[in-house]
Amino acid sequence: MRVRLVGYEPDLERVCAAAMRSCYSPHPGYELFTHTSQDKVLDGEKIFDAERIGGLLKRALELGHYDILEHNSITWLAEADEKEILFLMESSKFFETSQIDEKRWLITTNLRVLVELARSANHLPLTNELVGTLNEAAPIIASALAMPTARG
Amino acid sequence: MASKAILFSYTNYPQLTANLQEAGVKMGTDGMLRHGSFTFDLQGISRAASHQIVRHRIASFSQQSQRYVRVTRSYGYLKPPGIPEDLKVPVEIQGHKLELNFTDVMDLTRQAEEGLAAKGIKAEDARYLRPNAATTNIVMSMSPRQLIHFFNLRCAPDAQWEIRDLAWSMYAAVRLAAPQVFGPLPAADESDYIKKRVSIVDDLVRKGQDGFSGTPPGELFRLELHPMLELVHPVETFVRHY
Repeated sequence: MRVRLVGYEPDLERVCAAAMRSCYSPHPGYELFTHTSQDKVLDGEKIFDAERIGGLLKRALELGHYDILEHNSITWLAEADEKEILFLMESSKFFETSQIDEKRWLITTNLRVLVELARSANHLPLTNELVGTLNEAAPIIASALAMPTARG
Repeated sequence: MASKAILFSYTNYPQLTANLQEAGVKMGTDGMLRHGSFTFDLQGISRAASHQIVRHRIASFSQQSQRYVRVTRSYGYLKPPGIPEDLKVPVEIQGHKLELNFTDVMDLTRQAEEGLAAKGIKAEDARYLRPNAATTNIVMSMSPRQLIHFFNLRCAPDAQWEIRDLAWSMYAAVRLAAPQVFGPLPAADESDYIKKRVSIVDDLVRKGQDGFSGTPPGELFRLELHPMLELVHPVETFVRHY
């Protein structure tokens, strides 16, 4: 395998959804993040369960409200050539790369960058490979990116 | 009411380095500084402080909206400790001379904003009355490298007191969460003030280590900074344990 996912923060989709909701709620991000059962009452807020998180993230994708997808980092060990790495670095200020040896690189970015790359017309096979590893770290986003969009 | 700094999401470096070791890659400190992210929920901070925080790059911010969150539901304010509660200043309004303290002025602006909203003025316009002291919540993410830059600037003795208190609180939180990444601040080499406080944070983090390790996964550990690390105003500091 050319790309191997080696690191990401736990619950990163819940973090992004809480960050999104915190913009429109009197309750702060962490209170929303932990509002996972009826035991805790947050005035005016729905329980922050999988359905709620999925709804918020899908809404963010529909609105193009990608900023909230920046609250995370995802790191891969990848075999790539310098042209591919240069392409990634030129695409966003959020790419961090470290060269391990002649062929291998450590690549870190966030969900926002992946979404934008995946939805742009001009992307490399490496982008698809990075997105293809998201099922475990970010299943909701991975599923949304796998679906056809209006932009193709 | 105290401000809060909650470190609730961050790169799991033991896991990351173990995964890399499996692939025969050893990650040094420089690599860890570049490849990771720390996300804080900063609660009850003033707009004056948040304006300073969002100047930092590269970082990500999600801040509570003043348009969508109604004033009556969340409007608090933070009074600078340097302004005495009983200090009054003379003002003149439509020929009426008054003596007002800080709290009185906050009450006036809040009443005026609520009054505008009650008369049908849109929240996006009524909020123009809101002062810098009004509190806000903001979710903020930065890489370790950027955080060190932030700490070097904002932990300095000449930084503004509120953001300096927040920066020290956040520094203590990341020291506890990721000791393999965060050590003494580079700025400590040039400042006795920073050097002394870094040493206090060392002690506090060491004392908190057992309690943090024993915190159930997913729960918050409260890191007690006061009174060892003197802050101008109270900042409750928490780190989520994985």
